[in-house]
Amino acid sequence: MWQNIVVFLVIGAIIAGAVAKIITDRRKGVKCPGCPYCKDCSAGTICSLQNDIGADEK
Amino acid sequence: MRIALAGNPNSGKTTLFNAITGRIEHVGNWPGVTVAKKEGDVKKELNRSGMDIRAVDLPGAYSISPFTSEESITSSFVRNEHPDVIINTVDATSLRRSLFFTTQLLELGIPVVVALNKIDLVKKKGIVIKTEKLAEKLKCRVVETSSAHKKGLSELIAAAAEVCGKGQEAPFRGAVDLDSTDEAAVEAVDRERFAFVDRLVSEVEIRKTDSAAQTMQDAADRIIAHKYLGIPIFAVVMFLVFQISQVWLGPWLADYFVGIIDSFQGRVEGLLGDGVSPLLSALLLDGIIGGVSAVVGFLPLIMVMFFLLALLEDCGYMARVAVVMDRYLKKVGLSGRSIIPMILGTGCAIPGVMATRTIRDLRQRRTTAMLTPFMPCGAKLPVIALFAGVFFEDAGWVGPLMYFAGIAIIIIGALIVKNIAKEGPAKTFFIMELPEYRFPGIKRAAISMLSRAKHFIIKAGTIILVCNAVVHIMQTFTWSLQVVEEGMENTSILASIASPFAFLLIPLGFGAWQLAAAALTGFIAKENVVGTLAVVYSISNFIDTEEFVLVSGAGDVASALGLTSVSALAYLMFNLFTPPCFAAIGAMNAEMGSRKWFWAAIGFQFGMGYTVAYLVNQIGTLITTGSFGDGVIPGLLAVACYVGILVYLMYRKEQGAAAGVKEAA
Repeated sequence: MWQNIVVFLVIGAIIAGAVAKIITDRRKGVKCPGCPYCKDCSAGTICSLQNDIGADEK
Repeated sequence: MRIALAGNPNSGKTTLFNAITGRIEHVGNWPGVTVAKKEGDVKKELNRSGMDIRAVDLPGAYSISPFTSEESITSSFVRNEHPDVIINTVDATSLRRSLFFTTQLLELGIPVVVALNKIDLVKKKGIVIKTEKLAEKLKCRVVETSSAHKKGLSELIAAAAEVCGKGQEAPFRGAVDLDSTDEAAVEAVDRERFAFVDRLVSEVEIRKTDSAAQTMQDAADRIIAHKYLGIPIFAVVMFLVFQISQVWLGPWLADYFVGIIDSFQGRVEGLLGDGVSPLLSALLLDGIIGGVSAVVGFLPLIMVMFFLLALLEDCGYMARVAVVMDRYLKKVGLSGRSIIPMILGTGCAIPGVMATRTIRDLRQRRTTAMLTPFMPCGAKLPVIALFAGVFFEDAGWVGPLMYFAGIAIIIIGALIVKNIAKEGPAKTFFIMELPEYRFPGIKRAAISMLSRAKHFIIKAGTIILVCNAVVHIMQTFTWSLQVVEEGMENTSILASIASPFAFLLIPLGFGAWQLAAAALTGFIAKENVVGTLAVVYSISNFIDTEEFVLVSGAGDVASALGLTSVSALAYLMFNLFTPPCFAAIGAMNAEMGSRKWFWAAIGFQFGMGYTVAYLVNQIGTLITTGSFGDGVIPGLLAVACYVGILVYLMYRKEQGAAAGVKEAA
């Protein structure tokens, strides 16, 4: 029984760790963990580009 | 204090930024690699001023008046965000071209320090630049630097700190303001400015023409960038890249790496013993460790591939590929600039799609953003490597075939979009500065490779781990949360979700719910295709294909996944040529800036992936077995429907088409 509890806790810790990393990264502005360009996206450059596109169209 | 790094494309701004901040941003020996601004703190050892200095790396620009959207990022930053100092990175080997932008920056009144970069190359070429005289003429500090060799960096930072807050005189001031919209007046000022720069350069630069070196570079270009030879050379280069990464060196390293992973899994299994519930044991061993290690097992192959691609970029070859492709892309309504996002897309579709902002024409930009994800990205490499290894005995042709299939689909797709948009023959000019060939930097390539490896591992340990755990739980339980009984796998939550999709995939030759589930999780991250297959088939080692033999209980490796070689190729192409992961889809949405174009692109990608997989499966099955595969008629109806819509859009009446395009824009 205690073995199952330990394994359950280990699995829970691994998954919780992965989820926590995803959440903390998101809070830091990293939308896609593992994407080498995530910080560029979060810096708002894509959004600012939309304004540029809008300007071009005008 | 905030300093902006501004200069012409390929003048070495990002290399300088990395050198002074210690960050690892992607650099390339060609123009247009940086399309967004990046910030970082200047390293303490270079900063003797005691001030906190933050550096901002800006995309390259030839002029303060922006032509492309990434140039407008640079222009709007230096004009509106008031940096304390501008470090103008000037390629010292091309002073005449670089100083046009310098004189514009000097007019802004913000203190400018000119970094005379690539000074090592200047000395090698026997060019002499009178730095002091240049500084005197420009009325600003000029510091000789070599960002690649980390020379002159502390002097540069010290100069920036010294001029902070002191204002700036302009050596040349045009008769009209930089913001003027009077085209004739601006043109006249530009001519005067060019004349000023010409006079200045002739006073400060002594250039000895090195005809032998020029001839060697030119001779190489005459072959490598040749209009007919260029394509087969590119094919051979890509074949070698794949052969080395997927057949020769990669699997050798992967075997060793997978051995370590296997022994780790064995140790965990030993630690668990027999007392642990089989459910928990399977979740840990098959779901978490097995799923993640199946993906991570491909890391050596990916690292070798990225290392080789970084070498190709660094030696200047990729810029030649853009020139070679220009004439073909022009014929289908794109420009040579479109190849840059596509080459960047081989690393990751997101920067590829982001790089479309270097394209000035709106339709070309949107079409390129729509088509770039067809180039197989790094995340798709494990999928390619898995299928090449398992179904085609590590054949070196599978990888290049996928790349050339991607290029073919891009060309067909561009033609279709051109016809739908009813674009007439347009003159587009592609001017690209070709960087000099150089011996590729092993260290730079190694840094690029390690950076990508780090991101790959983070992705495997977060998104892919969580996905695999969820997939494992979903295939273990039924909707009433009962454990799925042996032989009743079809009752699991995962099977019930994936089965309707699997039904649609029967004409493509892979109607099993497990394969449909893997394709679905691939939209979260493409590596998930491999991870999910590992979880649902309880296989952790895809590198050593002997394990498949054990699992299937037969000599036919393919039977483990219930696929023939033909349907495996169709499945691979379906995963490669349907829409990319959600993150890349988000980037497409942002770059296109039009809902109509975005949804049309998603529909086009789904249709293209389905059609290609259908044709590969049905024609391949006909050739290999003498009859069509399952679901030939329903699949044909779906494909005919897709093709019919495209044909209708391409040949509808001019008036309606024009209205449609206008609305889309």
